[in-house]
Amino acid sequence: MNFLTNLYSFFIYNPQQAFSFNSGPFFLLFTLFIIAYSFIYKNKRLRNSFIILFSLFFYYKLTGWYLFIMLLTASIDFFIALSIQKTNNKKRKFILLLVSICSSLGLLIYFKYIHFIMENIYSIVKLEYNALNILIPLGISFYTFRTISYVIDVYREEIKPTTKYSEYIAYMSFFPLLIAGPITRAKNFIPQLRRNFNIKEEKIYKALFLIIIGLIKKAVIADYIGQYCNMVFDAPAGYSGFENLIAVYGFALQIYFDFSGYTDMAIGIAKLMGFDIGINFNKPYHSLNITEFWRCWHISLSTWLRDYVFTPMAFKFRRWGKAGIFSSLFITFLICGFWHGANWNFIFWGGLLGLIMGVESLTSKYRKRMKKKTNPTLYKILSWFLTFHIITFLWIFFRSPDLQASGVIINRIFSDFSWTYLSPFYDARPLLIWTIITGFIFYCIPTRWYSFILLRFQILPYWVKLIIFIMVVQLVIQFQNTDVQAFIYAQF
Amino acid sequence: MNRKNILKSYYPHLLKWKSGKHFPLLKFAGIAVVTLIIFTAYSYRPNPISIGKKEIKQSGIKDYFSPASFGIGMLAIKRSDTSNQKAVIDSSKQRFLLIGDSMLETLSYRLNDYCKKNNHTMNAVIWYSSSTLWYGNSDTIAYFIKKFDPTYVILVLGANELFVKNINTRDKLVKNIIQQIGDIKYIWVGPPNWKEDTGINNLIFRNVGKKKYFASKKLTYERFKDGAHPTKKSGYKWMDSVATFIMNESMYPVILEFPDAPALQKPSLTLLGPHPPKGL
Repeated sequence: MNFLTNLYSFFIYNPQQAFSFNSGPFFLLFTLFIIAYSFIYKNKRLRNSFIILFSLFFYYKLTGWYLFIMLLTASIDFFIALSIQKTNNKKRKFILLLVSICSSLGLLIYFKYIHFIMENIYSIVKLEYNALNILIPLGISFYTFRTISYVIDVYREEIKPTTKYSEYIAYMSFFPLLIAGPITRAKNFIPQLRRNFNIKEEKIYKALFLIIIGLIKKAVIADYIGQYCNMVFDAPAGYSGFENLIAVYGFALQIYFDFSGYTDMAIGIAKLMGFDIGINFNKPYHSLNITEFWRCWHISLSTWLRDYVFTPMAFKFRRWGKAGIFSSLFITFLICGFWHGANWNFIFWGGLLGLIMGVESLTSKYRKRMKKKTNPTLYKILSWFLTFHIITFLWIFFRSPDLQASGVIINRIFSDFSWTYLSPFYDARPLLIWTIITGFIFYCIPTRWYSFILLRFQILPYWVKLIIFIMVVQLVIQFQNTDVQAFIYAQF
Repeated sequence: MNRKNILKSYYPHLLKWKSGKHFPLLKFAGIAVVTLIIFTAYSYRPNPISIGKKEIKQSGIKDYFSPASFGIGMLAIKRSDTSNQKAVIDSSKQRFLLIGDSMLETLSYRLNDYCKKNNHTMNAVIWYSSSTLWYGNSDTIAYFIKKFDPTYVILVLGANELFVKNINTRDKLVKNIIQQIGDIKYIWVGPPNWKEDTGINNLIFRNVGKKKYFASKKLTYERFKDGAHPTKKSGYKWMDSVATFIMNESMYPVILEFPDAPALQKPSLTLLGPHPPKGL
């Protein structure tokens, strides 16, 4: 009886239970899903229905009945997109577009930003704000951007709206994309729902390889480094300048491995199911300037912002010349910052990024001239060094709980840095140091080596692949159960 | 068609099945299923396997389905720990042992004031950077109990494990600590959280019960510049709350009247460096 009760609770929404791609419960349910999927994927209708059912269940397990918020957004935009296509009246089309954007953004603002807005209004009028009991539905920022892009594309007549409600729900709820993207466009995804799949073994092993790489990146490297970063960023004054600096570099690695690892798993899972959802990261820390960095970091978000925010705005401000470009970049990145979270830190981070991008666009000719005059290798090294450190510096504002903590971190690094901390740091946290070093090496693996390793992996005997997978899962378990030493100093 | 012929006609399909051509996805499913079976079976093993000093850790799969694991911590609590009946106050002189992590430094000064006022004595042991992992994997508490022969133990532990991910793995360590204290009267002062923890407070509470657990996380503190440790002033108020709890709500109430003046002598403090026990 107890077993049945526990089994029942396993299928019920439980905020305490992790259900991300690297969690045990997900792995168990996904295995059952893929067994059933392997028998039905050739039947289009059955396959799509099954995907919708599992996706909705996945989202329910993550956010409970907030599932209906997503369904509401999807339903509104599905019908509005159809109405936009049916009408020939331009004004009416525009009004429908506005209604759609307002409803999607309205829900996003209500759930994600209401606390921030109210807190700031109350602090201006000097009243005490009692926080409303509103939780943020997981993935709301991602699916809101997906649905907005769909309606805008229909409005711009770049795509024809789907007439099948089930197709749109499948697009909106497709579980590999739900939580952390990529923000795949409808024009790339919906046609895949209409295709017949022939999933080949080669593709399956490529997917398995991506899942393995994603697991190592997310659940081993990022999560372990993240434990240390969390401790330092939450109470930076308690740590030396050296420890703060390690946390800052550590976070640069953590955020990349966390996000790109999760994306690799999402891409791998989608590939297993026969879907291609594109890439989202392309060696961003190799970039030689911030503009290049944003072309390689969270590609689906940066292209979304380019297509739906920056380009229309730059077109609007075209008479202003360079000032127009600068303003458009600045506003786009302010929005980008605010999209990442309801906090002044994110806005500040976005604003700084926008400023730097603006300055880069204004100085592009000057930099080109300088490049010609300087030794190319030296120029590359200096550009890379500067870009990497600007990005890493900006991450301080992104990760800190507030602007004050960001200031403390910067202050500690510059006022309390000493190499003498290295030895006790290594004695207390050797695994952390080795994880960071491994992370950097892992990151620096050239793409051609990566392709070579993938090919080798694909032709390995089946049982070797099985052993590799088991070893990686054990590695994840080992790291998940190993904690980073908290404070190492004596006599605070 | 007889049975033999039917089987023969299916043979090419069976071959295709075996080579994965019909259902290639089952090849992936095979890897996932075998992995799941291995990790589920291993999670049910009573003790993890060790290679040298390294332990091959178990997955938490068992916790999802095994009814016993849902009662983590409960085994250590006696029925009397949860009853609402008020215990009789003990007016005898006490020998306190205040032991734990660096958080207890400010508490020790105030407890010293209480001891002076109420004719008790005390010893404090601070093991810097310690956690249930260190105390639970060593006999430090048993050693100091033997050394100081206390009548009352106040344990201040948990601040260095606010963000531990799989907190249930610390359950047996918490139980080991309680076992080391044995029949001596004790309370466990929970960590003064500066951020929501991942479950250490719940774990301690589930193991010791409400009458032996002081929830420090409910108080607000002024912190040192490190953002974690309470200031001396705040630490004094914290100890006042702990003393009130001991006298009025705890399982083992003893006389702890509010001190009128600070003690002239410093408390007896034993400091242990931030080094983990051997083997960790």
